[in-house]
Amino acid sequence: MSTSTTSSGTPARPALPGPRALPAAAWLGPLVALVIIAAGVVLVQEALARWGVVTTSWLGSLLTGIDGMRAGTWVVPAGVVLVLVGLLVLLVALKPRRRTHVHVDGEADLWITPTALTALARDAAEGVPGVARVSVTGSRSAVKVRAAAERPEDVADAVQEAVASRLAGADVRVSVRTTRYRPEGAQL
Amino acid sequence: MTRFLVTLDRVAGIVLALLLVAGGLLLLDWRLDTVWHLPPVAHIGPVLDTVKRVWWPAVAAVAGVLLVLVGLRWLVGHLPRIRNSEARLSASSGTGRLRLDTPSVARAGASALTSDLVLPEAHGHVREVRGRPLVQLEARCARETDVADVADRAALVAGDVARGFPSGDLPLRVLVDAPRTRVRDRAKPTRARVQ
Repeated sequence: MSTSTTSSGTPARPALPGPRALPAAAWLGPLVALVIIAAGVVLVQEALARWGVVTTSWLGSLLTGIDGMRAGTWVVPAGVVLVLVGLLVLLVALKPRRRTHVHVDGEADLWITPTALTALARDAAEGVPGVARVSVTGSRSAVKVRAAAERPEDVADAVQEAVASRLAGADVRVSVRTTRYRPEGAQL
Repeated sequence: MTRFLVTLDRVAGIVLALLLVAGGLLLLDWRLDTVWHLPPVAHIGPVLDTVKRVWWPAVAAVAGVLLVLVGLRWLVGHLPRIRNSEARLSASSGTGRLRLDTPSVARAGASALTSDLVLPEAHGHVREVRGRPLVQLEARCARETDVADVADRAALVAGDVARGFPSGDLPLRVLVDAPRTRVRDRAKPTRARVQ
């Protein structure tokens, strides 16, 4: 078994911000907007009720219900749920936008997804004679290739070179690990 | 989404979160009676008196309409924007205005980027980033290609656009995704290649 790692270095970043996913907080705005609209509708209905246009006041009924209310046993679980939901909303509101692509060095403002790098690395490793099985995992910072061969010591350098040259220019670390291939049903 | 809207959503989320936490703590203390020593029975007499005042319906109506309008404007801000498809070029002057049909540039760029061996699928559209139009080409790479080949192809198109608009009025970005998964790839495990 052998393991090796290469890095293509850090290229200069373009002036525009890199591509990112929508923030997790993007749904909080519409949610708060709906709450504001609902509050507005209740206030308008309250005004219409006071002017006698409609018979019952929603806000008046709510306030009458609250007045004289006692702190029953339901208050504790309701309070705990409110605090937990509040903390969850706080985490979502502060969560930074996720980077979706890896920058590629060159004259163009070029970005590539980790999934694409994974597919290219897999194809490169599978093309090396002697490699029996390949598994690849990728993230925005690294691509990890695991290749199985009957004689791993013979293919390690070739797999490393094939994957590194295929991904050259992408701002990721490439690590290749070769292991001995054991066919299913073979005696250990 | 604009940066302002993203910031607004975050601030609204933080305020909502703080209100929820404060409300929850208030409920807990009401029952447990540890910090604020709230009365065991809720009395909101002053509030009930307020809503019986003469001026209350008019104030409620105005506030309600304003809240509905603000909420609707906020919601509309999250809808996909119908953009002006033209961009004003910096070479415009008092003698004449130069406007560019940006979607046609995006289409031409995608067409130039497409290559069977490197980027077999590509399409382009125009986005607005920090108030500037940005031509964004989105493509899928071929399984057998190299990142260097993709970079060469993108540099070719970027060079064409830069020559067409040397003032830098129209920046170009290329996003590359994985090749489409073939059905036979999913059905069959990696074939063994033994020397």
